[in-house]
Amino acid sequence: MATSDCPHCGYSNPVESQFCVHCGTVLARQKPPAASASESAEEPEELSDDRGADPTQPSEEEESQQSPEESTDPSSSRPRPRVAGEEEDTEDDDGDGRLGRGAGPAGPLLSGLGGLLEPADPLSYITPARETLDPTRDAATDHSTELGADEEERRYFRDLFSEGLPTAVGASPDVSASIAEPSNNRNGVQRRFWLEMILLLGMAGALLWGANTPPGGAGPHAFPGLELAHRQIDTLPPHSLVLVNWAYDPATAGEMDLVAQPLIEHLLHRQAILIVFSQLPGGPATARRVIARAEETLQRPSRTQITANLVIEGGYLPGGGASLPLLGVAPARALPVDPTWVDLRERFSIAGMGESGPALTLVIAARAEDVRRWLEQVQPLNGGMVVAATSAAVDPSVRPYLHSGQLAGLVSGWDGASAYVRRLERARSLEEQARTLRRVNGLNWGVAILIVSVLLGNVAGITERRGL
Amino acid sequence: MSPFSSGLPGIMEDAGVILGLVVSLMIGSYIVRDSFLARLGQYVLVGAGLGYTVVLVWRNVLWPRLIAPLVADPMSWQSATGADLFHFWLPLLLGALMWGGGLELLRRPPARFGARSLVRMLAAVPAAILGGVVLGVAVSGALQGTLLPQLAAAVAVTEWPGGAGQATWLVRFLTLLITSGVLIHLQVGPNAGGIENGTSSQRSSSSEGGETVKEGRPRLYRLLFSTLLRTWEGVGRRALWLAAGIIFARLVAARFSLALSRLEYFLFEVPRSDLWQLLWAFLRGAGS
Repeated sequence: MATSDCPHCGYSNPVESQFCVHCGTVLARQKPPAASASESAEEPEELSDDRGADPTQPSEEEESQQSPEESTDPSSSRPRPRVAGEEEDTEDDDGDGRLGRGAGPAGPLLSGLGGLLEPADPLSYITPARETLDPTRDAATDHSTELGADEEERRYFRDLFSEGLPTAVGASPDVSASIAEPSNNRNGVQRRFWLEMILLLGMAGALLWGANTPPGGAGPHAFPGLELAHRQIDTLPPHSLVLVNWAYDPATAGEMDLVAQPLIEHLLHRQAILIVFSQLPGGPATARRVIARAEETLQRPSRTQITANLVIEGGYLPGGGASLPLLGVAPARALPVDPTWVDLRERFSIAGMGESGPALTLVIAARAEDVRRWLEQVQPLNGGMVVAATSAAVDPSVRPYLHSGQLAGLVSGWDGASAYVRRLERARSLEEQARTLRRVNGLNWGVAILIVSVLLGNVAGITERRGL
Repeated sequence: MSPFSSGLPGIMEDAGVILGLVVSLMIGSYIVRDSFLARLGQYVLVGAGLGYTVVLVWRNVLWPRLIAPLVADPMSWQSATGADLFHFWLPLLLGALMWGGGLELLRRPPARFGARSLVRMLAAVPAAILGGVVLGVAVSGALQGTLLPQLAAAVAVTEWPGGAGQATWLVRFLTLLITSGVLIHLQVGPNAGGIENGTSSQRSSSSEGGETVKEGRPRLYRLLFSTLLRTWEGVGRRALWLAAGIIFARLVAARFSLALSRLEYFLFEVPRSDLWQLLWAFLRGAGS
């Protein structure tokens, strides 16, 4: 497969890539036309004609493009054309010279700070690539001249920030095996695009019309651990102190809100005093939103007053795993100080939690790491009961802690949350029932489409292998 | 009003919903192709997130815990006790060193040894403390929170008091069988260049048999051992794929939940907002 080296990190990207798979550097405007080598061989006279009276200029430019390492000109650090494989690359270009639609690799959307340091250039998307990269236009040279003074500095910054950043696959950024195949095969890319579209449309259709279908089956399956979690919360005496580690933010709120809300509802019904904190910047705001929603399920007339007296909002606790041991031995000292709830802190005397710790800790986490951290750093110190509410993807990783008894309960995924809601024994509104039904149908349709796709893919693979 | 509601007027919340729709569509356009809009959406998201974090850290950590006490009594270092120095002045010093070092790292390395080089060297002190603490906490935590309890639960004869009650002898036996099978697969399986499946395995065992003949060892023993190891490795390999399948299934469930949530937001929440209905009515009016 033809590749082109990233000018920033040197990683070999497929030639169709508009951004570096490893560091996110914009490649599109820096990439020479795929046919430049063949064109330069076929059209030297045209170029020299275009350049007018100076016939030596094209050859100088070619030389500078082909050996940027030897040049002291900062602009020469721009990518050079890769001669090998360029002829086959021309097939990937559309007729108008723009890079193939959807042909870029499926690299990570946000690949770290390194990817952010290269500002997006609107012109690279508006201007047709062939026009921009036309060797006769000399636009690249002009641009590099403009940035020439800063080029070395920028390169240093980018090296600094991209060095050692984790990649999507692992320490070795060799994703060519996974990227190369679809990039080489445009049919594969198109199939993936259509698969994604079919999935989205299937789920959207199920959401739109799913509420009209009659509910069937016994509902989502309840995994072991859910019953234990429900029992732990249900047996809490009123006004028990419950520490809530809110370990997710808006990025995963679509799933995690569904998991968190029924447990918070249950705790509020049990009149537990919640001390909510988060180690994620977006955590406190997310917690506030979900608690406000859970509060609406409480009985009127004085639900707001009840909640105001029951819930203590902590805040943001920085420091990652290193700050957790203090939370295990002296929670009152470790908990973050939010000026808006200092009076609440005194009123409820978090210090009273002191040596004994909270009656229960609820870890609501989108990553297994957060549950593991708590069980490793805090629970051995305070010995408290821990119930985890996690994403479905986390379930297999934290389930061993349930079996070893370190977790007193586990609720995971939307299905677990749905099963938990059924145990709350409260009347559900028609809207809530319709939403549940829509979601069940949407998930069923999505899974069905995925299973069919996997089966068809396997059949196609087997057929192709036999054909070979 | 609930103390946990945002406190914003309704129109502002609606504006947030519409803004969320716009940014979501911008980033979602990545499905079609990686475009400037998709990138811009990501930059907006990351920039807003970083800005929010800075404000949060200042408001919840730096100001109330460090700056405000120092501002209230700037000369406190003269009469500070050891505890005060430890809580206020030492963090300030280490933080300033790290910040200075970070800013210095953004510049090109100095050619000669000087103040800048000194700052770079001193910045290593808080970095080393930070790294050492994190590493120490992680290692001790892994021992006391994962390795020992999991080992104890695996070999415990009696049930763990709070356990899920599933650790029967059969489960323990299967756990041992599968764990060791996976270990064998990873250590001597095809990827490790040891035992290979299929014909190569046969070749491997037959060559071993040949060696045994030369060395005069009993062929049957070697053959049985090789077959047992191969079978065990096969169990481990299949268990590994089964586990990968389970993880993939739960991952799909999680990601589909996220996708459904976004779709629900587009299809139901946005059209319900007052601002959207106003915009829609305006567009329809302009169209007619």
